Amino acid sequence: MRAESRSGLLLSAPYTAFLLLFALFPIGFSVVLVLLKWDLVTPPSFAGLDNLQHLVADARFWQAIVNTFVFLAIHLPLQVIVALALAWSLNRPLLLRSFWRAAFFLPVVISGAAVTILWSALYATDVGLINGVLARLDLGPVPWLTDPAIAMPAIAVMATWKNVGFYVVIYLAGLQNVPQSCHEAIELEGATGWQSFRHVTLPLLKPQTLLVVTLSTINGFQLFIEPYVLTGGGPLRRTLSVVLYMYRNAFSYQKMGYAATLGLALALVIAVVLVLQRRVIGSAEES
Amino acid sequence: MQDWAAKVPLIGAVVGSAVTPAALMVLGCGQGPPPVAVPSWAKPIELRLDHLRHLGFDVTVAGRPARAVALYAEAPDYRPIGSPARDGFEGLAAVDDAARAAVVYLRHFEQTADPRSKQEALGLLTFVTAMEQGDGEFLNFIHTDGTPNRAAPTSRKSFSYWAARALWAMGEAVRVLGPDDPDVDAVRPVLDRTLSRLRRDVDRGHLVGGSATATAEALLGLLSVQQVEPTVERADLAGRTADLLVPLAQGDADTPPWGARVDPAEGVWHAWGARSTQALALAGRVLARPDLVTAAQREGDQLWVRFLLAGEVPAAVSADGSTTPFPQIAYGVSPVVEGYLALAEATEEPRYAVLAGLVAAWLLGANRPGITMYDSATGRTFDGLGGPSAEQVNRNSGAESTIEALLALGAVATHPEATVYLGYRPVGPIVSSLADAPAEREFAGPEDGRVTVSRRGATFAVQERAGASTIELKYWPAANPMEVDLARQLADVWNARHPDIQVRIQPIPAGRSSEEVLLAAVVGNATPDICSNVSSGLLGRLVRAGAVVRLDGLAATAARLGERTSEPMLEPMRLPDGGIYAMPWKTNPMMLMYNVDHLAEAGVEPPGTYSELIEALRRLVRDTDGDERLDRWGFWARLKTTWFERFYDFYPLYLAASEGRTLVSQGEVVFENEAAVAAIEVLRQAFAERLLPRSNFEGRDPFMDGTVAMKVVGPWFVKELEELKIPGLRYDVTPVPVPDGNDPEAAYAFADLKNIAVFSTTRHPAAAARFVAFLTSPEADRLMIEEIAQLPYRRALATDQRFADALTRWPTLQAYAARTDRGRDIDVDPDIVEVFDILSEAYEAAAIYGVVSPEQAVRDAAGEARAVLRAR
Repeated sequence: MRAESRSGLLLSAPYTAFLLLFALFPIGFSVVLVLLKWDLVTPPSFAGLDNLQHLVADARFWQAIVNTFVFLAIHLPLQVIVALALAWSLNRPLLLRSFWRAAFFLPVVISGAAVTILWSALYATDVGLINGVLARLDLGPVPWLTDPAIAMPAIAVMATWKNVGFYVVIYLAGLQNVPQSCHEAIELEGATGWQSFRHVTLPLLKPQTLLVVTLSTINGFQLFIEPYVLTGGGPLRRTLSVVLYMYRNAFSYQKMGYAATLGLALALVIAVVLVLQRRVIGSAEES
Repeated sequence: MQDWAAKVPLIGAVVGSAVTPAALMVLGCGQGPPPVAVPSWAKPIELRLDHLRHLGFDVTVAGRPARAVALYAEAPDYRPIGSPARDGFEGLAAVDDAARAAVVYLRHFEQTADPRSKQEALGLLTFVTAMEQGDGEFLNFIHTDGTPNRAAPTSRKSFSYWAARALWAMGEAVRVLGPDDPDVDAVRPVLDRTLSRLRRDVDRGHLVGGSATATAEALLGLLSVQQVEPTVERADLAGRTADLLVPLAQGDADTPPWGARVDPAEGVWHAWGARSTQALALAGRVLARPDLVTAAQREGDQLWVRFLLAGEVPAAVSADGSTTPFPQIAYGVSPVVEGYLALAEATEEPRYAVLAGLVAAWLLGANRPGITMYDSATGRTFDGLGGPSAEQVNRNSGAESTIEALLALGAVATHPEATVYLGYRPVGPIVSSLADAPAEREFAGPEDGRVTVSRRGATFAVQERAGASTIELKYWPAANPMEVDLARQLADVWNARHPDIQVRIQPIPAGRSSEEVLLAAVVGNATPDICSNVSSGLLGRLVRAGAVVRLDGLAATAARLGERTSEPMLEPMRLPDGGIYAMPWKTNPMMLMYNVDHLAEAGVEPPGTYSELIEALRRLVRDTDGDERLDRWGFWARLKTTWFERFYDFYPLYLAASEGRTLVSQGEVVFENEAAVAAIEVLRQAFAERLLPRSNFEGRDPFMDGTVAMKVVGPWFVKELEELKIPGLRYDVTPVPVPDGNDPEAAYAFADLKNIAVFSTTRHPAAAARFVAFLTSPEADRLMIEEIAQLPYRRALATDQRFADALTRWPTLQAYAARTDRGRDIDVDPDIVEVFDILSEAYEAAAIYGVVSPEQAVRDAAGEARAVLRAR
């Protein structure tokens, strides 16, 4: 038993070390940093509660929080609906089904920066592909990334396209676990295809939906590369995300203490939102 | 609760994403970069004008208040006194000294912009010009009451030594102050008469005063004027004056007096005032006459090299080669030093500069008794060595010794290749006979450095060994292919010349930006010895971290700063402690580039003011294909708010409007002013009238393809434009527009500087400084212009003949070069990036989207920026 215990410790040691170094140590260190002023190159100095006071009064931070919720409000439902629709389509008999499955997953494995640069060309006001199509229809041009009201929805659409493949896989797995007998039973009762989907498939996919919503929320709060490359946080700060602002403070302004404060605040917000989500979706599940 | 616990690592990753790199780096943070120790021998020579000022006095000459310099000052109290009885009480001061003192002060003013030096120089020039007698001839001495001594043979009205020196001083005034300076106007009539008088002598084939010395000094003055005010007539006169000096050389490499230029009447070469080599070398360069440089080399390569091989500069050399070793005086050393430096500049061969440094070392103790003749604490120079022992040192410190030492050391202090040899001493016994001088002599320097000078037929060679072992320096240039290629070419040249100091190139490692990479390298103590991609924005942080070496505290880089820049150019680079911590290397002064044909088609001139700019924009917007959408524009202002985007619209407009005032100065916000409001307002008006495209033009440059007709950009763009522009696109540049009523030609340009820094982790600060000095040498600067179409941050670049050909290599580069002297960069402040970001957002709100007024935007941004500065 003792030898077994030693083996267990030994086998878990690499991951424990990894966890300590790359998760627990950063968390602990970031908590310490909240109380410090540190620019990376000179010794840190004690800042007391300055970073927290600054956070409370920082209009950019609150704007970034609002922006992130706007993003999530568009991105989350879009992600769930599109992922589910695609999964449902790909789960049916389809010519070149494997190809389509791989094709929709491809954006997930492409570098985020590359995808974003590609979309910047699509969204370009003057020579972008989208506005080119609109021009043929005598529409536009639409300032996708330079209109304060449109920029964040445009980014949300792009982020959805980038990530949807991953969630399609989750839903596909769920769909393949829905017993065929349930569909057959409800169809025998005279239900339409939509009714079968609404009353059988959808409820049975609730665990997957919960996972998709949770992961999308966490990913959504970490929105960074898209506004970093496409808009730089503009126009009028409407696409400034918390992580982009945290990045600026850490690596453009070398304000590591304040960046850590932003990181902790973001973690707190994510935690609260996740708890609320689980309560809402969980209670729906129970009901 | 269980779910919450399951998410902890995930949230940890979220939080950690920002801080993990920092957390890992903190392990190495406690130590910081080790402080670099700069040895005393690697520090620059300190030039002090205190004693020269001490010798100065007010005097009224010909009814004009002026300044003069007392002839002598005797130890131990060094009270200024006049000519002693032995010289027949010639007077208290002389044009001879006042003119040369004026040259010292003018050069000092050129380097430091010290107004005291300018005032001293002008006061002395008043004295000098007051002694002119209406026909270009001069008296020399004045008595204590300011009345001229007309009787003494050394003071009589004539066109001789003192007239030649007067001409030298007046010429230097024109060169240093500029031909259009009002203070030069007072000198001009006398200068013109003096030049006419010189022409009379030259036309008749006469040396000035029958002397090579006087003729050479007159020629130096003439060439000074010609450098900044070139005319065919003056070039002709200078050429003919130089031609008078050439045939004076006697002997050859094996025959005494080994190329010495001697006065016909005396037949003896004397060290004092032997400036004909300097004058000929300068004439060769200014007049583009290689034959004159060759003539100058004859004395420098043969006679003077024998001085080095013998171990000292003697007082005189006879036609048969015999020497009179003593007295040795500063007035005998200075002409040789400046002569070698002039040869170094004319030939661009550093070996001459090495010899200049070795000769100048006499002033700092490289003499037989080992006496330090120049005292850097007081600025005094002993009057001379009467013999080989310490007892024979004349410890008085008169005007001539003081002036000549300052001239020599001042010149060496602006030549990196010379100044590093001031600490070297000849090895082995001094030889009095030049004929018996060894074929090779070694000089020993600090830390076991060695230089060997050897005779090679009619010329000579210099070999150097920096220390016991080979030094290796790591140099990080910017990673773009053009700069890497330039760096490799320069390093190859350096490595071939310095086998004992080898430079290894490594482009800045990949990263999001060079700033982040360098900061990471600082944290990890992994910085290179040298990096040439340090922005002013980063510099403030590096200095705060103690990560870079102060470059005006190292001899070689201090010399290059002196040679290359002026105080007004350096002033914005100074940190609060007054130090210069990076060599301002290259500049890309922003100008308005325009499409010549588009403007002509629209019937507009290149805009100089805001009104003209708006009018031009109105006329330039077009729908060229008739689809009812505008597809051609006058200008493109970028829509993104990342801080550096403002380098191409708001910031250049602001600097041009603000008379060079930047954003932050001495920790205070200084941009809350009318210039900032006006710069935003003009762009707001353009956006509001839909004269500017609301597009990011992703992936292309709209100027290159003819979509927009104007852009604010620096010369770096020219090479790229030439390669990628649409066929037939013709372009030119003009200064950035200014508010109505201002003069665009007088406006400041955004300099967009890139700097070279030496990092504190280097183990060889002196060697690194020498390499930095090489990277910024005229030779390297010329290569930079030719290869990458960028401009060295160098004073008077546009008029410097050494770069004239290079500047024609690329279109518009000459116009850009004319703006290098009036550039302003971003502030060297640790928080400048954040301040720029704040201002950029304010600009966006007011100019692009019009949601606040420009006044309100500037006010709000200033308030936010102040809070940032207060919080640090």
